[in-house]
Amino acid sequence: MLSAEASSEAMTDRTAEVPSIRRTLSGLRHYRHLLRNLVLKDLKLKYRGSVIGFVWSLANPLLMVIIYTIAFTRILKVGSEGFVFYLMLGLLAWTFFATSVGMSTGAIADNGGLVKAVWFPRAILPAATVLFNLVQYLLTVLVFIPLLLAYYRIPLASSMLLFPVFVVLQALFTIGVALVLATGTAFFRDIRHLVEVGLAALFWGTPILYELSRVPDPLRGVILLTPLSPFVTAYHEIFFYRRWPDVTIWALTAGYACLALAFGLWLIVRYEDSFAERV
Amino acid sequence: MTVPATILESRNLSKRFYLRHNRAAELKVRALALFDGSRRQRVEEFWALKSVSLKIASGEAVGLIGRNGSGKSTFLKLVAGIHRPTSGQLLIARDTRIGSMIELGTGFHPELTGQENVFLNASIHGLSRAETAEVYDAVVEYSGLRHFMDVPLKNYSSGMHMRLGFAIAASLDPELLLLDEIFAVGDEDFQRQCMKTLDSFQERGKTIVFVSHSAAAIQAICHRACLLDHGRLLFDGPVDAALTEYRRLTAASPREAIGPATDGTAESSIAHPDLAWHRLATGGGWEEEGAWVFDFLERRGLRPEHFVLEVGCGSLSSASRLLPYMQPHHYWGYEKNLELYIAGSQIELPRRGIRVELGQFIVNDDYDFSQAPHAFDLAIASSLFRRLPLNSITRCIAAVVAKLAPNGAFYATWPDNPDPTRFEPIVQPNGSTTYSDRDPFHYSFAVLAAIVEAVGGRAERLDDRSHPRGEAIMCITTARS
Repeated sequence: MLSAEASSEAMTDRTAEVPSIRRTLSGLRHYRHLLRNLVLKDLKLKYRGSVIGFVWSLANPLLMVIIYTIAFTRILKVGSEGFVFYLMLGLLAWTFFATSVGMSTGAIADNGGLVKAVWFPRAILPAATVLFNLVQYLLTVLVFIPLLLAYYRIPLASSMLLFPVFVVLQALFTIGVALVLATGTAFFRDIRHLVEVGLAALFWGTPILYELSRVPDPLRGVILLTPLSPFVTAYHEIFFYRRWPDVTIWALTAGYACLALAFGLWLIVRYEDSFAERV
Repeated sequence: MTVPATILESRNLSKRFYLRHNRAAELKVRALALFDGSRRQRVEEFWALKSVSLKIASGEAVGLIGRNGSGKSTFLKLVAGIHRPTSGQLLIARDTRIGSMIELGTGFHPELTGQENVFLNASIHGLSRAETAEVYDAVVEYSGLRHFMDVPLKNYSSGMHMRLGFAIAASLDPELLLLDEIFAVGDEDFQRQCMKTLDSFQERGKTIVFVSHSAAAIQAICHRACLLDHGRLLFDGPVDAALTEYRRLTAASPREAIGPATDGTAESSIAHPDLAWHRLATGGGWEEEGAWVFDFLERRGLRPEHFVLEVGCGSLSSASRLLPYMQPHHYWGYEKNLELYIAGSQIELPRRGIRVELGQFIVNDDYDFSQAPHAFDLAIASSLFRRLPLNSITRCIAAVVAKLAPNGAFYATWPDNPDPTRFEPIVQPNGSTTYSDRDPFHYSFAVLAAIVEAVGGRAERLDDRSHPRGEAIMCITTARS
């Protein structure tokens, strides 16, 4: 005779399942092909039907190089030609962050059809958005940095080898932020607008159009602490100043990445079961 | 002995949703609530499922039926893991591969080709690239779209969409298959193909939980069906019995029972008007009873200008006779059961081309006729007391007597008990059995007359044996007259 107890041993109770980071991480591992396919889908869709495809992605940064060169060396006359290199380092990294974050607000909120029809770890959606932008960033950087290095005759340095490390840290940080914003927007649509305004402000709080070293002292500390500054500063250090970043930069980039990722994962794990009801 | 193992079991499973009417304002509302300290939540609760307990054995094919919003899809989504149960237990056999076809072609993108969509869709369902590559040929074969696999999906017809979606879902080879209304679309060929596939699923011992409005599809696939209504499990058993219950339910619901004729669906297949639940609910003899009330009142001097109150007008069997005869708004019907009244006003009256606006209707629980502005010349309660315990009868009589014109009369019929000291069941003239302590009740005239007097009326027994159920009839007048 089967007792109720014996029969429930072979069964798992959905209601008793507590959302946990472990469950989500094992889910992410199982669904890694989905992550890959979502990124590929976005890339394909972006360039499908256009004749020169990816080359378009280079047009925008190229235009910026030309405009900033004219603006800063001919009109404003505030910087040397090499300053454009400084500027592009920050601008490309910023674009990766800002586009990812801007798109991530809709990663869950705008995918209601999918979220309501199939279960998969929801963290995949914002992560895919960030990875899609990361791929674009890398492709652009791999074209531009060597080009600019050659154009401005900047000698290579060992510090440049650190680039992948900081890219990974920035990507992890951005994924963390994206998880938070994607979760938040599913519940409060206001966040989308908040992010737009926040990004505009953050742009000027990040040393992109100005050199951090020229900022007067008490303010410099504040600027360095804004979310993206440590990453942008790291790129400046390794490419522009050609030196190894100091401990502060290491601590801030690694710390921000860990904090954002931990908080983002905690948040999405806590709320992912209710997305289907909210989108 | 081989007992099929349970693959899915729900115990008092409930799911609550919150309906948010204006989500955009929510942040503002919450912020304001912080200031006035009230923390009001402007959300409405909605129980999509309420204490549903059912057990499904491995290899079963179970249909979930019910009206829109009954909770069928919510049940599927709980099993699929899309929603989390609010309370109760949902047990699923360990390591069961669940395949859901809650929406075919979820995540299809119109700009991607058929092939790209197959890989994307399969990965949404958790298949790896290698696994997808393994079943890819079978999917293409099954869908019959070999020549279209490099064409963007935006150039597919909706039928081709469905084919591809179903082909992928079928290739997932789950042990527990959740299907939601997949036969609502697609041509006959496609539906036949689906059926065949589901047959082969069953042959291989897979379990199917199938949501549909189509009686034919449920009958073809399932051997057991569960009827849900307003989130509750009303019936769980053989398909035919479940469908009968479903028809009973939809007949009571005006929006789905009435309207454009639907072919082959449960709603339209009520074989005979007398088998409609609202006719059966009043004990059968619907036409006869209505005709009798009209004839009887006419014999008692009914005129079109009289004000008439019918207590327990049910599904309007007498109203359908009285309304065309009476002056507009002179017939008042009282009924406790809203669904009976709706069935009457939405099915029976339209069937005869009678406008419900000709009458006045009161639906409440407590014999409250206060909304009628005038006294009644005639009142009737046919076959009502048989359903009521004495206290309710007392209340009813008191309320009617208070609303009776000085020379008005209230006629009531009841199953007679000739001997007030006897309490055994009695076989009535029409062959039905009545009881002294349960529905259907019988009462002795002496007892009823005493009640009438106690509430300020006078009762007189009529020597009239014409009631179709053979019930006795009395005439109640006010003591004032």
